[in-house]
Amino acid sequence: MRQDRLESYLRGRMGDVRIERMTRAFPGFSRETWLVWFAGDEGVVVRAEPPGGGLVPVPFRREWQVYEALSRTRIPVAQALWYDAAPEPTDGRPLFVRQLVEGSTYLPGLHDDTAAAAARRRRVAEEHAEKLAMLHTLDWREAGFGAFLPAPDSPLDALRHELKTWEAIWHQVKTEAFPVVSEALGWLEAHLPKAGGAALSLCKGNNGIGEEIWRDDRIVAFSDWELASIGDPVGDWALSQGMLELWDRQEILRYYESITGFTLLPETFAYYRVWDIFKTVCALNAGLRAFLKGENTVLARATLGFGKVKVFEHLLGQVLTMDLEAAAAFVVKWRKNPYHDPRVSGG
Amino acid sequence: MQPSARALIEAIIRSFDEVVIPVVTDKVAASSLRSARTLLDHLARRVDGEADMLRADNADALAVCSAIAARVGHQAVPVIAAFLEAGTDESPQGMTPEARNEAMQKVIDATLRGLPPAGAQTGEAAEIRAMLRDYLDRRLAREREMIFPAFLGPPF
Repeated sequence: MRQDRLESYLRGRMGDVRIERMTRAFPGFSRETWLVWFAGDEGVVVRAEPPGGGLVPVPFRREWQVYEALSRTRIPVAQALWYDAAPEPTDGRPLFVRQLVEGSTYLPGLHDDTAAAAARRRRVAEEHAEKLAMLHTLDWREAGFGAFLPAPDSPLDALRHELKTWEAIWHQVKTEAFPVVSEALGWLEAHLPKAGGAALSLCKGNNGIGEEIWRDDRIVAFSDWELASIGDPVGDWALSQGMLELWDRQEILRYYESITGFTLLPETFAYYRVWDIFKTVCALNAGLRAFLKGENTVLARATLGFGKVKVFEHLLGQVLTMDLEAAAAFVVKWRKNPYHDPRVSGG
Repeated sequence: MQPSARALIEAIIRSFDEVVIPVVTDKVAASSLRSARTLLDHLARRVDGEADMLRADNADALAVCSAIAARVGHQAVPVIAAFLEAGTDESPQGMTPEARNEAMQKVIDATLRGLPPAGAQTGEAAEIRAMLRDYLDRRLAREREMIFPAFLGPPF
């Protein structure tokens, strides 16, 4: 996005503003995100649909609706400003604008091999649990989320609802036939937990380090809501991308349960671990479509949409003969969060 | 003597590792390099093995589909039957091994999705699923060398 075009556009919306600097957020593969600073530390974040569409096969506008609704709640999130379905600076690709919140998506030094870093990891894990608890206890009906997020009938129905929703998406977006994944969907249906879910909550989807805005080891803004849904909060823990490895896993979960009053069932947790593999295959492979059409030639579209999808297809192939507990333990060994890799996070 | 395609790709990877990646500090450029390196690692494995893999896989898939049709009758597996009736040559004119492989995966996928759920199946359906699952296991084993460990590192 060119700075002069964006500045002209923002002036039309915000009055006399001048861009001092702007940078594209890294990695930002799912949706294009620009951090824009004006004079005096004020600024905005411009989130735009990437060329060829986003990585995650969910309507772009829905994420804006989540931000807009959250801006009226106590959940830490950047103030939503406006949505534009056909803006000039992106040649018509939709965008929305929110206030800039100072902070970082990474916590450099968190994985150092020192006692201080270990104590810090515990504090970060507790902070994350507290903020997830805040999100999951939000009255989402009162906050208006039911108007645009499909909701399951009950906590018991949450997993089946998610399975059916994403199974339908998969068959619309996959780039080729994946018989192993089809069999995995059968396995997932057969292994749906019989027990009830913990609750029906507003869930974020991918969360934790690499997703949220952190400052002084506190989450000051939840970011990237493209996978937001109404579902069992256990799902967010399964998608917490290494946050449960920061400290004692059971202690973290007990802490969260003590705040929320929820009981996270091990069977449901295990299910979500495996489910996450399928959902990731679906989202990443959807992103490969634009690469194949030449509409988005960013190389990560191929490493993620083809390479990682193949890896996960192989994992699902092995899961087919396992019971739920064994399958969950198996996939956890292979599921690594790239944001915890110093080569990606920078330290 | 000419260097093989694999040797050339591996030389590019080495130059990335030793010369380029250590000095690139821009996050986006470094990420793009990691992705490029990952894809080159995959290509180095694929360039030698893909043709044989596709040939073996196409022959295996065809044999399994033929065996299923013979075992349960063509009318019980209409998608497989239609594929077999369209021609069973190893490489029909105008169809690359890649395209043929993709077409066969569609046939196998459609057949599996047409079966009753694994928990509710009996008799023929169980037999068909078992034969196709065995084939899929062999397929995954065939392509494993091209996927692991090339795609296990950071994808971006």
